[in-house]
Amino acid sequence: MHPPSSVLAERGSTGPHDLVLVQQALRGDVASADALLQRLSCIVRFVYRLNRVLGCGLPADALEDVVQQVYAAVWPRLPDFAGSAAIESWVFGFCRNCLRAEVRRRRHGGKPTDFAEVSPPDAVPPASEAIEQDEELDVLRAELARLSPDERAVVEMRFLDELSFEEIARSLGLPASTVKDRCYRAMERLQGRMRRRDA
Amino acid sequence: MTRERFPAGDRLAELLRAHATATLTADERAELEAVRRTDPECAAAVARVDAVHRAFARERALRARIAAPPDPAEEADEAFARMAAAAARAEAELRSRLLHRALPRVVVRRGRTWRRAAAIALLAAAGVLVAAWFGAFSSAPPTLRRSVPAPETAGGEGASIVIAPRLSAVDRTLSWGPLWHAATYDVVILDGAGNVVLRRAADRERSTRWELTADEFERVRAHAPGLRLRVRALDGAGLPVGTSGDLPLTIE
Repeated sequence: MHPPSSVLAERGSTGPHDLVLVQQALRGDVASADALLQRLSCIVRFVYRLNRVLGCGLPADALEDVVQQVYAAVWPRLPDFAGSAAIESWVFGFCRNCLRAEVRRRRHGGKPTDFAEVSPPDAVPPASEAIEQDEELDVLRAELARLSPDERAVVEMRFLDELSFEEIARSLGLPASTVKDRCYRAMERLQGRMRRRDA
Repeated sequence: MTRERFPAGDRLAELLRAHATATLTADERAELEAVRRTDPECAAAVARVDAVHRAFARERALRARIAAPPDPAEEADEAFARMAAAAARAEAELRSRLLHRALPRVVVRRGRTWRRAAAIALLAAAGVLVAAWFGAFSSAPPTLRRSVPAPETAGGEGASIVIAPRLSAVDRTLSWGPLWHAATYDVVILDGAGNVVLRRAADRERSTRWELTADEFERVRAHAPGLRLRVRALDGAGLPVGTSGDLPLTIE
């Protein structure tokens, strides 16, 4: 039986499992490379949906650019993939960052967005509001990034993938008590840092 | 701070810990709520935890929307199709990189500052010389020059890739001129949607000629018209040093 996986991840995939896949693909294993590329096909769906959900309103040509940028950004960072999350969760961050970078580029002197080229987003907040809400979450993401890889992995599995401590422990090969301690320590750090940021 | 006010072993500390890790039982939640109402410090501690939980909840909600099952309507959208084609091109390139080059690693060595500075200066000087040699000051990257194919070799003296992008049943050979500093050539034939129809075998990657077999030719011809040829010259580290771009490939 596969351990539970992230909401974004392919069914049955987990960070440690994906770490092996990435490492084999980087060593030139053909089957692993193909499997990895298959998993990265989520990029199109993620970018397309983020554009709508965040109300970015980027036209098709800009979205093509963003997709290419995500692939270009992922490649040099593959050796850094630590397996703390499934590939899709890892790639999700690249998609969001590249999309927002493109939005910013177009806002500040880049080619203006032609909203006539895209169909209106369905039932999403206005563009600026959605993007600002997403930017508010940057505080959380920034502080998550400052945690140690061990703590970050546990916290993300607990609060983003909503796994139980027993499931996390099985996935990481650690005692549940250790996992719980790490989670608590990480939460203390997050609370302190986010409060300081708010202040 | 939390530890000082709510020391380990303290019942309230246990409750706050359970709240932080989202493991409160219903009874414990009620117990914590009762204390929170009367103890401002406890209320502040709970509020801090709640703020982090709210942020996680919003992030989860966003991810859930993005991870919704595939929707045929969105896949029928022209923008989605164009993105998929762009992804196919990027994917082909990434596949080539995965299978044909070493890991992109930067090795950082610690050393004395003056030695590093000297090394950087030396590298910069070498870079200027190399740039001058290539004529890089013109700011134009190596580009395609259509002319007579050059001899079969990986690296020559030219500064451009030369291609005759035409195939026929009697002449199934594609060829191009060598690019200076090129160690290998990554060659693909793409269909109109940007999908890779055929990629040259890795064991022939140094050659500047590609003779398709009869079977390969038929496979390619089946995807005509709209075919394109892309030749990328890579240096010894697998980094691109020139490209033909996507050229219309004629089948006669």
